[in-house]
Formats: sequence, structure tokens, C-alpha cells
Amino acid sequence: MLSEKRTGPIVTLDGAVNPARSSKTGASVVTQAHGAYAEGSIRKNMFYSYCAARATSVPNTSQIGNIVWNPPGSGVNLSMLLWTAQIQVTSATTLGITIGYTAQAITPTTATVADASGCCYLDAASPSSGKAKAYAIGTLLVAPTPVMNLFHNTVAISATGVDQMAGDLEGLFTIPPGYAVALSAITAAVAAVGMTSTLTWEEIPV
Amino acid sequence: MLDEIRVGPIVSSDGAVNPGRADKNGNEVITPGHGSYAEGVNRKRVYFSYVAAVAATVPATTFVGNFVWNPPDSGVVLSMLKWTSQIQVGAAAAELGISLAYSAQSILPTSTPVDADASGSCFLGAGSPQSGRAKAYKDADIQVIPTPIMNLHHICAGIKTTGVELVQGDFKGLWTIPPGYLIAMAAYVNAIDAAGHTSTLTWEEIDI
Repeated sequence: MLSEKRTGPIVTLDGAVNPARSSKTGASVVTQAHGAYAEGSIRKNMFYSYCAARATSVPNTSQIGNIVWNPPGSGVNLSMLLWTAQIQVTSATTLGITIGYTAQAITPTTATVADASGCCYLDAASPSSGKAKAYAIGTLLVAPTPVMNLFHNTVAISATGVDQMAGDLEGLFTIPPGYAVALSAITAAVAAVGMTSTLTWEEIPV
Repeated sequence: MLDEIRVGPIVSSDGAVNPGRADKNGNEVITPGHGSYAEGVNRKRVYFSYVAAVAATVPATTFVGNFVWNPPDSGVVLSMLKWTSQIQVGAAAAELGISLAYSAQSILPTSTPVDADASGSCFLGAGSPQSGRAKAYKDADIQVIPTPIMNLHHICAGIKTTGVELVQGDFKGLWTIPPGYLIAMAAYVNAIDAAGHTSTLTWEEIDI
């Protein structure tokens, strides 16, 4: 038996009963209850890593920038969401920033934690919560492999204009347990204290 | 019995009855009825805070900027949505931009808090101004220095005379502010010049 809907909008009141709505081409017409990420955030499944004024490296085993590691056995995948980045010190030979990934079976060594990280539900339990671990600096087993360029840096940006690169990966990249995701420079490292960035993700049970 | 739908588009008229539509892989085909936030706005659950021409400070307990406080007894969380930011004065090289930050705030902000220049429901009728459980300010003393969690906006020395800027984004509910906390747009590294920052924050209030 087919599940039927009725074409066209109606005007109704709270508590009224009505069939679901379809478009003129038969598609189900839906509307968001909240922001796209509100459900995950309120359930405390959304997390962030904020790294301020870091000399972001090219992909390297001695990685500097913004690194998120999903430990083996975490029981979750990391589904990557919103990101932001800015280069705030002249970095004439840095051609841009990429996001990349690498296998990482052990805790990164000689590591510096991210400047702030935790749950996007911003209460007292937020800091450093979640299964994944966020770092600004860490020694990795393998240099990250870039998978997407995020923005192009130009010589003059520290003196003229405004920049704020931001995007939404909308879950496009998934980081399984035993892997890390990182922001890296293209061609040459960002200058000292040169980049501030944020990565966000949802932790989804495997 | 399975809830069945039919593959492929149709041409229908208002009032007609038809099964749901599937694609060739069996997925249900959908289309938005309205803009992403229309349902919340029409139910008067979405709010804004607009702050014009302030000397936004770096995170501090004596805070100037755009900030929204969720009182401990509000009964709602704030689910953050769209934002805008511009730096319109000076922008010396030492002013590096704007960050999003949060802190615990269990009492009404003190030192005669100054309300945001405009705030209220995004359902812009007569009931809009100052409605909602959260309170929007542009100048007050707060209990704890806010912690930056996301860079929003990078300013460069030449922007006052070169180019155009209006940085904006949509948090899409990523950040949730529980009762007893506040969310703020703070300067990064150094305060913005006098009358230098204009910004907007928006959020949905969701019952706990």
C-alpha cells in the first residue's frame, strides 16, 4: 500500500491533524526544526579544536597547526563540519592551506594541546571532552596527505584587505579510529604565530 | 506492512493526493517548504542582537562588544545561527580581528549594563524588541574572562581605505549556550578602535 501525501500548503494550528505535504512534482515538502547541527550539539556530540597564532607547517611528521586525532578504540568516527582559518602574519611563500589526514596508531608525541577544545555544548563540562584529542603541535607517525585545498594565501594579506576563510564540510570527510586530520600549509610553512584556525566535528558511534 | 513510496516525479495540483516520491535508489525525495529558519522564526523562537560602532575589547571581565547572556533560570538553551561582523574604523596593524568566545555568567552583568543597539525576535513585529529569554548587551562587567573558541574575522591595516568587507557566517546550531553562560564577539589580540565594530548575532531559543 502506498503512503499518500497531499499536494500544496495548508494553514493549520498546533494540535491539528493533517496529511504530509508534497510538492507539485511529488517530492515530500519538509522544513528544518532547528539549525542543521542543533540536534547533535544539544546531544553533546559536536566538538571543536581552536588553535591561535600557530606557525602552521607543510605536511610533516613534526606537524604544527591544528590536529585532531581519533584514537584507536575510540568507538567513534569523526564527521568533519565547520572550519575557519586566517593567516595574520605575512607569509609570502605560503601558498595556502589544505586539510589532510594520516594514520596515527599511537598518541602523538612531543605534543602541545590545542589552545581550546571540547564540546560545542558550552557548559562547564565542555573543555577537553570527547573521544578525539586536539593538538596545536604533535609528532605524527606519517606526514598527512592533503585531500582538499581550503584557501589561497597572498603576500599582501597581512597589510591590505580582510580575510576570513570559512567553510562547512557538512560531514564530507570521515576520520575513523586510528587516524588524524590536520590543517597544513602549501609549499612553505606559515610564519611564526601566523595562523589561527578552528576545526569542528561530530563524533558518530562506529 | 511497509510504508511505500513511488519512484519518479509527477505533475500534481493543490489538493491532489499522491504517494511520496522516491529516487531510483529508493531514497525519499524532499524539497524545503521554507527557508531554513522560517519555522523557528514564525514561532518566534529566533532572536538577534545588533551592536553598532563599538570599541570591541579583547576577552575581559570589563567587556565591550556584542554579547548574549542566557540567564540561569531561562529554561532554554541558545542554539547559535547566523552572524555578521565588520570593522569600520582605524584597524591598526595590531588589531587582528574578531573571535567567538564564551564564559560562565551566573548573575546579571553588572556596572550598569548597556543593552545592544537592537535586539529581539526575528519575527519583526511590534513584540520584537527585547523579547526572548536571553539578554543582549554591548557593554557590561562579567564574571569570567570569555574563552575564545572560533576565529571569525581577520582585519588588516588597509581595510579602512581599501576594498570592501563584511564577514558573515552561519553556525547552523553548532554552538549551544546553556543557562548560566554567555556568548560574545571579542577582539583578537588588541581592542578595536573607538566606534570600530558593528556586528550581529542570532540564535534560536530551544526549551530544555
